[in-house]
Amino acid sequence: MSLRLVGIAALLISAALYLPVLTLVVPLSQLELPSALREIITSSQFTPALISTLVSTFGSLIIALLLSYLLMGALVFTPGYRRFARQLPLLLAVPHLAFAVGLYLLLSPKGWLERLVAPLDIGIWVQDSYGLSLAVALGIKESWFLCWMIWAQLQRSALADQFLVAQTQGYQRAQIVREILVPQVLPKLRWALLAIAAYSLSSVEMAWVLGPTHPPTLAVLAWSWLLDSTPQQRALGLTLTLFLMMLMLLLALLIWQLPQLFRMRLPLGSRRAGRFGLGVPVKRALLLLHLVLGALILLWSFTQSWFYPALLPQRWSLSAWDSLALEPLLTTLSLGTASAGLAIILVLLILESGLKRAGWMLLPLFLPVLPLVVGQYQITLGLGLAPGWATVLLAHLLWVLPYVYLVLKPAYQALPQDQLLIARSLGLTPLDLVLRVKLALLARPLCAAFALGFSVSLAQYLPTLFIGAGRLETLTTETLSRFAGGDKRLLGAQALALLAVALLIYSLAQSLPQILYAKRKAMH
Amino acid sequence: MMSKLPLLSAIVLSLPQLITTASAQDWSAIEAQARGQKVYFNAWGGSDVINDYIEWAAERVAQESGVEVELVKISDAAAVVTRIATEFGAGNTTDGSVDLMWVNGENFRRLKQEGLLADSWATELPSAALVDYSLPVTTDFSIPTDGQESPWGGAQLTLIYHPDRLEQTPADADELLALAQQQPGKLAYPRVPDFHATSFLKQLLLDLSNEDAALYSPVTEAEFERVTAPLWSYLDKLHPLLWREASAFPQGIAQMHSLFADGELLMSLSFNPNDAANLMRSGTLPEGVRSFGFERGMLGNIHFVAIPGNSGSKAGAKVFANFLLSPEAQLRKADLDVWGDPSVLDQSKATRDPAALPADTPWLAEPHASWVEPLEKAWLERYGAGS
Repeated sequence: MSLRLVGIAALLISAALYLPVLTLVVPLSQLELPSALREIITSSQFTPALISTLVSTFGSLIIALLLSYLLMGALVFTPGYRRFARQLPLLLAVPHLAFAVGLYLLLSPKGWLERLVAPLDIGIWVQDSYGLSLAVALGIKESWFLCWMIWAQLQRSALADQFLVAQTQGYQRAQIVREILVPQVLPKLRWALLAIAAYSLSSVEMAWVLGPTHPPTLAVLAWSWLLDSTPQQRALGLTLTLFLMMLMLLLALLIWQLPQLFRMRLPLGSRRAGRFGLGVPVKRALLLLHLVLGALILLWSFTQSWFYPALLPQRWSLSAWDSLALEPLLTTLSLGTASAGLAIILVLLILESGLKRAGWMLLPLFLPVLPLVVGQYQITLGLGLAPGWATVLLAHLLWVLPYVYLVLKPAYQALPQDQLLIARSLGLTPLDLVLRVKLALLARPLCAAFALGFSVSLAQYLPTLFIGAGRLETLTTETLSRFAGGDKRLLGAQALALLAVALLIYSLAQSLPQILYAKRKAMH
Repeated sequence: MMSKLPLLSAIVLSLPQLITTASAQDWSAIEAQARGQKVYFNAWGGSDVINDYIEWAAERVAQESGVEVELVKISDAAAVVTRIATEFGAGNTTDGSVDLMWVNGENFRRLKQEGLLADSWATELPSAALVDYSLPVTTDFSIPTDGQESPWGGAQLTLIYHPDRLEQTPADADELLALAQQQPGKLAYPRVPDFHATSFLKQLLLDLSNEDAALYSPVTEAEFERVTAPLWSYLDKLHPLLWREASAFPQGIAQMHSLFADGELLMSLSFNPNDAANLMRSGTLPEGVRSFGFERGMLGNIHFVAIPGNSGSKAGAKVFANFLLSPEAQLRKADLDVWGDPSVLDQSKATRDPAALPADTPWLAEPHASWVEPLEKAWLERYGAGS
């Protein structure tokens, strides 16, 4: 009974953290919405900004879907499938921002690719007016997420058997994937697609590095208006934020209908050829791209001078590393550890108390970030909370909690009931059962949840900046201010630090269960 | 630099005599109050040399006066103005999140207009007695400072080029246009409302309008139409000849420096006359770059620090502002190896680095602050949609 009370308390605390979702409604009453909307829509920046926003959002969805279809279609249930599945978490762990910085170094005007093909004298650039480069970057980055979600779906269902049966009946890979796998997997991906759409729609940091500049995307425009010093412009920013919410609603409706286009048709006997020849080369090219981006970031961080058209730095230096401060690293580590740890405790308490109806905890994943941050800001201001480490920690939890919940809930439900029954019949109290049996059984998902929670906290830009009044520097905020500072050497060093911490946490999470339970094969 | 040291010590030694006894007593009361206070200094954090300089000043003032200064690196001062206004709006009038901020004329006007600043304090600083009042330190973009902000440094818009790639520098806006016609796609300026972009617009406006007197009074609709008309017809001609045909603009001067260094652009832009020398030393720009200004002169202004009215550490903020204005801090700031930002104390123009803006470049005063907003708005309305 007391456990249930603790669970309810945990649920209430989480609900309090989610209040910003509701405060979105408040500003509505303060705005003269029709006239503000009219002013936004008639402003000269609106139409091009809307176009680049739609191109980058739809483009990222289409590219992520296509890539994951190509890769998974070619690899699923092949000998290389397991290895690819093991590579995915590592690819996922690459922070969006580090990826964007790498692409910027590769594709900016007079960047490395333009130097490589210098004799051809073609201009290559990111930040194109239509948001195409942003769409490609988001699409590639999110394709790993989709592949991972598809992999998780395939693990759980009986699709492997169906695949095998169809294969023994002489159907080719392409036909099985198209007619059996896609119609069954796609409906289960709707939530993942929603999350991708919400991220692409409202990403300020990726759009800032790779998106159009003149005018920028709607999210960046809304962000800069919200920061404007005149109240009228801020009201416009708030209205634009609400417009982004409406756009998200529209996207959600479309995504929900998507699986209708790919209804299941049982193969009627006609065998068609086709074997996803593109999948493996595309996968190799993408992995190579990641290596090149990593190398560019590394090279720039040790550069003194590196001017066009040189392919390698002309003068080397350690000075960029000298200028790196320790504080952002410590803040990142402490915020990540505390928010992931707190989120795990809260989610475990909620799950353990057996409370149902906690699905709303996933909500922040499907909402644009910007309005949520505005809501958080209004709440901290209303409560008179001083900007600082603790306030930012609470802000991060809004995004860390849902991800931790996403990982722990299925793992918790999959706990072997027979073993728990045996433990109880041996006389373990409920508390002992949790501490000695369940936590041990959950070691792997707990480590995964921690790594994911940490990386979500690591990636937060808007909440860290806004709620922390700029006082808190993390690896992410520092990387962006290095980007604004324009010195590619410092940018390289900072982005490399960001990348290294993200990958380190992931490999720790991967190896920790293996170290802890080295003698228990089934726990790996 | 060494030859200046005796002068410096003379100034430091004579410092006590410059302060009247009464204000000295007030000041020691402020110093006592300041001890142990924590000051959040919000300053543009995009430059490492500046950040390092501020960290140095923070350490010095911590040793000397026991004030703990925390640098808050910001990318946009307008956002800080917003934050302060929001705090006031939410009833936080005594313990705001900003104690001292680096401010430009446009944001100073807004802070002052909305009554968000601490009452007159800057002239009471002991170091204020050493300020060179022949510089425009008592007005900021034609707005009287009324002691609500303390001068920190001087700045002048500067164009940076490389003699190997540009033999003849343009002497005015028309020659700049001619250069763009000769070499299309090789010139750029950042996107408005970036601070440097707006400054560049003002420079063009001053040049094209022959420094129209109306620019130094509060803006009116009719005057705006009349004075800016030549600017728009000029930009209509210039934009198709700019980098990427003005379908994209550099995100700031930092990106401009990088594009200039790689040969993508013929010129870069800065508001620090010594920047070319600094950036060459750090390897950001290639060897041999030089600076120049238009014949008529280049836009110049003084930059200031201001204390928000809701700061909880006003005494600490004053002590830090006083240190920033001290001969020790100003001399170090002007050092090319440190920052290279001109002093507001010493008017005698020191010999400048050959890469810096020539010291005899005439100084064009900033237009009245009320021009900034309509200028930016009109630019965005005309060119904001891209092409």
